[in-house]
Amino acid sequence: MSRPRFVRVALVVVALLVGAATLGVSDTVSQQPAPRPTEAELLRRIEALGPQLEEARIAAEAAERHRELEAEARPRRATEVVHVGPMHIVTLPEQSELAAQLFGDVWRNDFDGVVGSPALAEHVFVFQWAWRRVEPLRVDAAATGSSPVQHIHLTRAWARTRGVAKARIRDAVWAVLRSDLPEGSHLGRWIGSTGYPSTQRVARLFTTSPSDDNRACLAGVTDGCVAALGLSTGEMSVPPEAAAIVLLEAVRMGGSGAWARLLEARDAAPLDALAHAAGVDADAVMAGWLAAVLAERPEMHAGLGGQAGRVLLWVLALAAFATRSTRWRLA
Amino acid sequence: MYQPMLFVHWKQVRLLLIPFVVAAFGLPLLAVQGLGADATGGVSAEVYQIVAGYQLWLPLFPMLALAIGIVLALTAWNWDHRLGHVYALSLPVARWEYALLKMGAGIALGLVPTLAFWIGAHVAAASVTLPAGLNAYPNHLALRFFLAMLMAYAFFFALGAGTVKTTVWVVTGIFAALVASEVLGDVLVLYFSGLEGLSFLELATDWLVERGGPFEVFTGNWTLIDV
Repeated sequence: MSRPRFVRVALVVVALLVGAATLGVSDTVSQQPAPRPTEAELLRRIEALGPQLEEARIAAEAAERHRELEAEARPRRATEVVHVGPMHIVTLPEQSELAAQLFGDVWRNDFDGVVGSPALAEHVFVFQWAWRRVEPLRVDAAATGSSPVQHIHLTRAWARTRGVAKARIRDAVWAVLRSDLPEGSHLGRWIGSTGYPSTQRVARLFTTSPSDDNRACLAGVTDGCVAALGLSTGEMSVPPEAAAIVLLEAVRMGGSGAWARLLEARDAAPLDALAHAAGVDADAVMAGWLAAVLAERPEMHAGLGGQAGRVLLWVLALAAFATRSTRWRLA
Repeated sequence: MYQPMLFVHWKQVRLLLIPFVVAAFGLPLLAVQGLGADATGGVSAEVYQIVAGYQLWLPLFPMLALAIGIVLALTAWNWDHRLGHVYALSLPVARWEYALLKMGAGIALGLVPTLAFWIGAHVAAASVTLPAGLNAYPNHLALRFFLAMLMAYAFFFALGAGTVKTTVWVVTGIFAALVASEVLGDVLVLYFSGLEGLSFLELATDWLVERGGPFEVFTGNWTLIDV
């Protein structure tokens, strides 16, 4: 390397080293921690925020009142009342047919047999499925009277399909039904505050749980099922929704008047109440529940037979496409 | 004629197949990792719940099958495209016969990772002591794996058989149709209340991956150990 070039390279290296050292020093200086405030200082700062917090709260309340007044002042939209089973549904006229279909499906598939629920007869469901985000449907007192109102306000962004809409309706109906069983009652405490139960989920968790009670129940021992459901020990070894499934199954078994009988016995021990509602003994209730859960057990094999055949048909169709390619002509 | 096809494809893909064969053998083992028998002779309660609830490795099974199918399909046509189809045109076979022979060769090669998967699934199933209520399904899972790989292979083989232009048009057309139908659905619902709650995208997805659609095999139960 010639001397001037060597000098230039050396200067560049020195400049880089000096730069790096300077950066390192400035980093070290900037990373020195600020002195930590004392506890008294922190408390003083927090207290100083009090007036601002109060101002913000008052402003939020005023804004909320303003929104409510605006909504009140807006003209109410015309509504219609639809009746499905014991349920009263208030909805927009253009959605009355849709509401009747959705509530009807839910009623037939999930709550058929729940006749005589005071809560269900008393409540009014306000249903709206909006295309975009809008103010919730406001209903005149004339339409609802003094009845408690259960709002089901859906928007297409969050509930795109009828399946989702029905799931929301199902949850709302179950929430109302559950209010027939207050938490103060034995039955209400046992049911707890779970949502509408998914029998498939319960089936999977129940059958894959290592609990001895569950294993005994699966083997058909009634005491095992009673223990698994927490009806003897109070400790459940199955998901909490299992209790709701037993209850609905008992009502199904009891047929007409089963819900009323269940409410009569809601302060009795849960197992007695279920047997009373179903009109059969506890063993039969447990057997019915086990059968219902096992019937919903997910398909555990790899989908042989039909699925394999369908795959082969698709493969043949795709092979036919491959043989019809125009590649050679184009090439 | 079939043997040379198989040999040529094998030469093309053998190096690429090695990591897939290792993955196919190892994935079932990873899925049951830590599920050894405890002191009482069964799997512990915690592990039981993991099997039931999470099964983190399972989505990788269909993904592996898909990847193998794609690699086999693309390598099947690779040398044809690269050499301008001279080799194929020099053979005394019709186009359809050539395509079917080539497809058959790819399917036969797909059996190699499937076999590795099947052995891995059996080894994995044998390595855990399952209590009553749980069963291992290595044969079913291996068959599902083969079917998924076969489906992916056939789909990409059919695409690869055409020109790049055709492939681009087909894939673009599918995506455009899905997006357009969804947007159109949002507009149509304003005029036809009967369409409320119908999602075209969901219908299409439903048709493609459920109800006998071509990709149905990729969904569903891929569990090695289940009730």
